[in-house]
Amino acid sequence: MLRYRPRGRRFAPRKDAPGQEASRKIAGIEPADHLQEHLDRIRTELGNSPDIIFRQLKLGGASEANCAIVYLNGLSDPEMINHDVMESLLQLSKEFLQKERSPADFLDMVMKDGLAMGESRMSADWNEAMLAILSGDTVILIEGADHIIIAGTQGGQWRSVTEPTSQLVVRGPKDSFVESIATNISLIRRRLKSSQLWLETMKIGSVTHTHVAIMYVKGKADPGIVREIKDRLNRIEIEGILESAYIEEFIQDKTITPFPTIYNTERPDDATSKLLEGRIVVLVDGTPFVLVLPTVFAHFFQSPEDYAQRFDIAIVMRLVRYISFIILILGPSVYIALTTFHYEMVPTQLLISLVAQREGVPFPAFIEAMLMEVVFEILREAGVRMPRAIGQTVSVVGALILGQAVVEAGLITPAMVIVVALTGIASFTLPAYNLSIAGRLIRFGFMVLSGMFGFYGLTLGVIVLIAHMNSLRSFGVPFMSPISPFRLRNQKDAIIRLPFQPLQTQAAESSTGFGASSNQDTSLAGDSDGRMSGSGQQGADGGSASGRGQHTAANGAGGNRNS
Amino acid sequence: MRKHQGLTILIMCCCLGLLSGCWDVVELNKRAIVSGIGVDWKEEEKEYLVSFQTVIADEISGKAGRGATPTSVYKASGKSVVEAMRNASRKVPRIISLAHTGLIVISDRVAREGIIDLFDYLDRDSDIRLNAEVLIATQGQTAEDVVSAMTPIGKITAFALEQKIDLTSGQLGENFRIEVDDVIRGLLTPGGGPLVNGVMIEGSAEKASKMETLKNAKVEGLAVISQMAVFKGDRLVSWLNADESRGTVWIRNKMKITPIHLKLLDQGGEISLEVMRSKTRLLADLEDPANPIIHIHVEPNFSIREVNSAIDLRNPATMKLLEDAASREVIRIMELAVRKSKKVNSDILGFGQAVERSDPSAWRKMKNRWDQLFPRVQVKYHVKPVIRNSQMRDRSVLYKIHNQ
Repeated sequence: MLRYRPRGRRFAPRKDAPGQEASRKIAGIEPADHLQEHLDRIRTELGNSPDIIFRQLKLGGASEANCAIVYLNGLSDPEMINHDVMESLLQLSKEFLQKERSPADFLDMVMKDGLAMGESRMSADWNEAMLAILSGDTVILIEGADHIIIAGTQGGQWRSVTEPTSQLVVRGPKDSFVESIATNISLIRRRLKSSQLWLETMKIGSVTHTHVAIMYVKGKADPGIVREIKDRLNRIEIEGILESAYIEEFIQDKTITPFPTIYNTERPDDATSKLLEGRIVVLVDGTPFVLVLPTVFAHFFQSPEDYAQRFDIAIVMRLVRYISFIILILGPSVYIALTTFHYEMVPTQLLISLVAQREGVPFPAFIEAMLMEVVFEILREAGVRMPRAIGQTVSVVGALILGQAVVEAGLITPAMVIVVALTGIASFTLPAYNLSIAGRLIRFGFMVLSGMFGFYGLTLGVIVLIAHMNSLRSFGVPFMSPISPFRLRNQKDAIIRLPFQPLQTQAAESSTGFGASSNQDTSLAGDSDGRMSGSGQQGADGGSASGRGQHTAANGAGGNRNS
Repeated sequence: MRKHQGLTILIMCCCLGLLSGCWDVVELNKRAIVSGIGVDWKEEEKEYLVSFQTVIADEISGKAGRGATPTSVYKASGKSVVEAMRNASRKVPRIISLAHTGLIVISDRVAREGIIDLFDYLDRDSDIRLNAEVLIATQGQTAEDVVSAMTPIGKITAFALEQKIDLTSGQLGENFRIEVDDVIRGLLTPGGGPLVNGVMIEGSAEKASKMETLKNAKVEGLAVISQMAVFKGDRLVSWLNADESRGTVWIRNKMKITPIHLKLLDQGGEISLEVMRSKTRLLADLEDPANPIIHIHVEPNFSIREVNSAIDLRNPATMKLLEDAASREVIRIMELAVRKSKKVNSDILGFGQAVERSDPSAWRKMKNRWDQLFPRVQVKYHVKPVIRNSQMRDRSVLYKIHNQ
């Protein structure tokens, strides 16, 4: 079990975050003489909870030095507490303890020589102590001391690393993030062994105190965007974070849009490749989905599979995804427009067949399409939420009974069933689920437009949609880059995926060395500083950030996997 | 009110969209798809009689077919096509939709009266396509007969006729596709007129329109493509015969494949060649502006298809002989076409265009006199025939019999 320890608090300490209103009055730990008082206080503050374990003991067995350890059963690792905490405390040198010592000496001694643990720290902050207990750490209190010791004994049960369930590949790594942030960080670190991979953590949620970590590759990630992300994270005021989507909603650029402007993934390889592109990964404790930002539209069409297959095949696969997205959005509406407004555009033979199908169908094409699409959404929703055992029944009922019966009863034309089925299948080709649901929503808008105005409305709708997509920004980076604003240099991994050779050249051009030793770090830092001052400091500033965003948008994703 | 202004405006905008309704929505089952239009002349009322060949989709691909004819013809009369179409609404339960009309048949009678008003309608109408095929029904037959005819292969006569034209222009070379826009271009030709394919009912027109005819292996009535009709201005003046049609097609550079029959005087016997491909260029010589000379350069490639003679095809001299004979035959065919067009004084061969190309300024001057100049135009033929192959054999079996 990998243990997670924040590497230094680089964030400005939050004024009010870790702690309830009530406890702010007693911010420090007074040098109470009575250990029992402290313990009572902990007990009352936590509501006399039976899963808090209080264990009083004497240091080294000596009678003078009373001490106590407090931990939360279930969240901590009992093995560690028994072996590394209790045992070491009890085996402290008796000679030392027998002399007259001040509580501070005891504290010092335990810290320096009495704890066989890598992760422990002293604290004088009551709130920190409480939080430590609630996160599974063990708090050691010593009679008369004005500090407590927090020993990192977090443990407990987590789901183990399994295959991803939402982003599948035929060929590629089969591990997926889990709910434990420590495990997730280790999954990335294992892939990206570089001193340049920086990690910063913070706690968000006034009640849940959820660990949130930011990871980025120093020297590749735009420092302005890193700062902007930290700013936005610090501004979050919420009681609880249970999923990274909560964070996503708070930190995304404020626009009304169905499109996701932050990419999420449950694949460590995907997250790593994005890190290599200079993007920033936000991990949230308790969810296997990590956020990647800044995001561009093309990300939602890239699958890790693209880099595991030959590039020519990957190009075709990716094109299929783009075409599917267009079918998903426009399929039913084009059908409505063609059959109700622009019958002249349908090839004659097809038209005759469509006319024959429509004979005796009671609903107008628009109503027909709406009905079928809604039915399809119902089926899909049922299929997703159903217990897995019943899921198959849903698909059988949906596909066979509904699809066939509806046609045979003459309620819906077979062509409409084909169109709806096609859009349904098309929506499944997208590797990113959140873009596909966005497409499904937009599709209904287009159906209304084409039902009212035909291709005229459809064309206007597409223009508005494209304008809207171009107006989107993800942390200052234009959402549609590098397609618009168009950069030929960055097309290597956007719509198509070129072989690794050019991808790699581009990576080499656009960033300095990577995986460098420590003496190169300074030069890298200097370089990035220079860039910062040179091209505008505000990460959210569209103009300046966009350039860099695109710069990194296309490179790296595959190229660095080579190395 | 003030407080909810934004919301009110939003709701009103949404309502605005709904108020416009569904614009000009027409569901497919409210349309009668017209595949072909026939235009006849009613002598007594001095009106057009327009026949719409409408597709009965059920009979073609639906499950609900009643075994009836795949097309149905609705007739209506009026001073103009539009009037006739509106009159037809008494008979047709659905909107007459002309966008898929593939064929427009005009009777010989109408064509002789003038087609300019008809083509203004066809050109102006937003539904009818400019690439609809135009046919003239042979003298004595009506356009209605043509659009009413059944077709054994394919279900819709109009589309079958379209295919027949494409096929015969590629296989026989006595026709080429003439669409609405071609006719309009023809109408605009100074001193000329359009050239339109003909169509006729072979057999009984009465029986052709009955479903029963399809139950016979020997079809009793069939719409077939006939020779081309020549217009002067917007009036039909004459019909071409087979060779004249072929010559016209050749001069207009539309020749693809056509058979040529040669009689061999020296060796005896006959030989059939086939044009594999051919290229024609018209050049005008305007040295004497009063007497323009048109040079017709033809480069046909032949293939020997049938040899009913004992000649030795291995001999280059024989080949030369054959090429000369073929070249004379080509010239003969083209001369027939030129003679005919001069006779009816209609520049259907594109000579005016050739003059315009070689000297636009001179053409501007003589454009108005082209009517007078055209019959006096001298034509020079330059044929460069090449016999490319003799298919799988060189000599005929006859050669061996003779030389045994």
